[in-house]
Amino acid sequence: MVRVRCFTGMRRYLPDGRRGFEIELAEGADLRCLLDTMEVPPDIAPFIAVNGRKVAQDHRLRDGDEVVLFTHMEGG
Amino acid sequence: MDGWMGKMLRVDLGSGEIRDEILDPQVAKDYIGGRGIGIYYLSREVDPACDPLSPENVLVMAAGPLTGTGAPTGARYMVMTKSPLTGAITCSNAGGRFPTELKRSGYDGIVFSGRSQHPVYLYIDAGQVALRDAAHLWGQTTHETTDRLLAETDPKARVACIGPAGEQLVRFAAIMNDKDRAAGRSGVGAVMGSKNLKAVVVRGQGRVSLADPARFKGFNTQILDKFKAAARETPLGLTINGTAGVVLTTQHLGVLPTKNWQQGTFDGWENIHGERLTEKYLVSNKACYACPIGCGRKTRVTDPDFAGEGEGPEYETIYAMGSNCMIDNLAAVVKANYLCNELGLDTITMGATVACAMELVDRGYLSEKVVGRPLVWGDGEALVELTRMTAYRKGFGNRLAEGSYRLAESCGHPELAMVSKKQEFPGYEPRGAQAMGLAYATSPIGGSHMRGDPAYFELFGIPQPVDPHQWKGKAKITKAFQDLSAVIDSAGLCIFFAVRNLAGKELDVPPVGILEYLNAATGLDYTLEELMRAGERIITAERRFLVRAGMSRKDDSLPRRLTHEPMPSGPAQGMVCHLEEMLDEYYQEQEWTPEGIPTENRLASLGLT
Repeated sequence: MVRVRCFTGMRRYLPDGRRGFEIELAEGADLRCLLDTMEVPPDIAPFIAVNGRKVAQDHRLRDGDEVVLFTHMEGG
Repeated sequence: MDGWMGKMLRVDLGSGEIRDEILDPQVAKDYIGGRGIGIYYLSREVDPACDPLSPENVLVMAAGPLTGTGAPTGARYMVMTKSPLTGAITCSNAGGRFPTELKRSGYDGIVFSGRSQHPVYLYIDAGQVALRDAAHLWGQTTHETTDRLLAETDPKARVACIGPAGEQLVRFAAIMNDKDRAAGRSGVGAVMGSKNLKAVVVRGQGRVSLADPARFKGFNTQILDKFKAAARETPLGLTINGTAGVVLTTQHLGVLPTKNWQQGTFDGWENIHGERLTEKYLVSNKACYACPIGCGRKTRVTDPDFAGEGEGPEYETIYAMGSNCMIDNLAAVVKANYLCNELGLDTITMGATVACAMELVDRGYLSEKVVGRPLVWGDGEALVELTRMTAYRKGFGNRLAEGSYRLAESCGHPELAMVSKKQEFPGYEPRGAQAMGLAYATSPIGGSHMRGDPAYFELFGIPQPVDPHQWKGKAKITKAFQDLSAVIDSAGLCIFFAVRNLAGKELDVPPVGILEYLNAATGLDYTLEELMRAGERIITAERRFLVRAGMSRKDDSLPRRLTHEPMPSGPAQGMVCHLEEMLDEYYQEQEWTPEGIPTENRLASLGLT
């Protein structure tokens, strides 16, 4: 089971009113599989953190991982 | 002239003499405007060794040639003077409406010299300029001052003023315009206070003329259409959550400065990030003149302990007053931000100085008896109370009013001040974003992100991503970004729009879009190379001022914590900032000596001899 939380522009890929969900993915699934499941178009490249660290889309997920997705922020 | 108004206003506060001065067209072209014009005047008229709070210092307020033209975010002006916090220059910049009004009043900028015998304000209205008595305004907040001045002059006028902090010569006092926009950093408000200048009130009736309105409009439409299409595809974070949204990025890259920079992640981040601000306190967005982004936040807090209404906070305020003080009570941060705006204080230095005091107390180097109250990590009430005391230099506030370096040094531990050139850092940890360390160390104003912000590359992936942990090759992109910032700051634009929409995607971030706007507005035929050279000229002229003030490589420094103590945890765990290695490469890029002094050849090639 993987816990997924979305912020900012990634909220649009969640059912209304939800901020996250839990999902069971196939053994060896990577972030691209997760994004495909969420119907995120391939040209959208969100910031992805797994267990608090930035990772690439080919990062493989493990049971118990906490995934955070958000569209890039800027400014300061 | 087109774009420029062609005229500077000279105000000698000592004699009361006011006169117009023609802006030399060649100077305008070589230094662009705003920040560039500021260093041009400072270089000629200020002894770099002078006491910043003496009448010998000069304060320049200058807009750019694109300010007030309608170019997106062409809303900004720059305040340049010698800083009482750093002893180097300031370049504090702000948007809102005041800068455009200044242009419409017929001036590119104002040069203040001397010191008035009594409090005054400057009033500019349709060609009439006068110094007026401000005794009745002394002691008033920035909001009270603005309201009273609008009532007694013209409700359509625009006001830039200082609050009690500027009057009290707090070393990090801000100049506030349109109530809540801040030329915040380096103590520009204290210089205004030292001159007994309470406010500048401007009513402009004119227009900024464009050399080729059709060309300007055509390019503007093209740029805005592209911007809007991109924002439809991916809603812009800056519009939705303001700069506060950046907490998400810095937390997950391990570069959110926490506990006076002892950590790079904050357990309480979810309570202080941009979405929380939007959900709990946002009333509406607020945009500066001609801005399609609208990152400004009008907010309201109803929590009884921290109730108030105003603008902010920005990301930098949330880091400085939030994670850096271990405060996850967003209401307390917002309230302290309101106080800074009303009393005229820089939120970054205020928060960072409180965080430094918290660590000094924590380590037993400062007693709570001296502070006059308990001071522990995470105490939002202490933050609010100390902010108020600082503005009036009451009790321990008198020590905080000197900034973190002087506070820590007086406790025998200057290494606990997270500063470069005695100015506190913005919220990006150089151990996990190497180029930011170089940018802080070499910024002409000390710790700052706005005078060269390679965080765009390292953290935001704009214009292209680079590895934030790698130090090699960072000198080149840091210099490029500093040059770009000099052009943006001098043209009168905002970095938030210009970097993404008006610069090339290459590592040297060429200001291609700014070039087109400038040529259409001014009628000059800048080449891209000439414009990039102008950026280099401004950076080098600023450096020359610092060198004349006695600064060199020894001052391009970071605290030992960032260069020698590995980050204890988080995504940047184990990292230190490789400043010395990057500095060697950086000076070569700049054609400065290994001691950081611009060579004669370099000065000559930029027309600075």
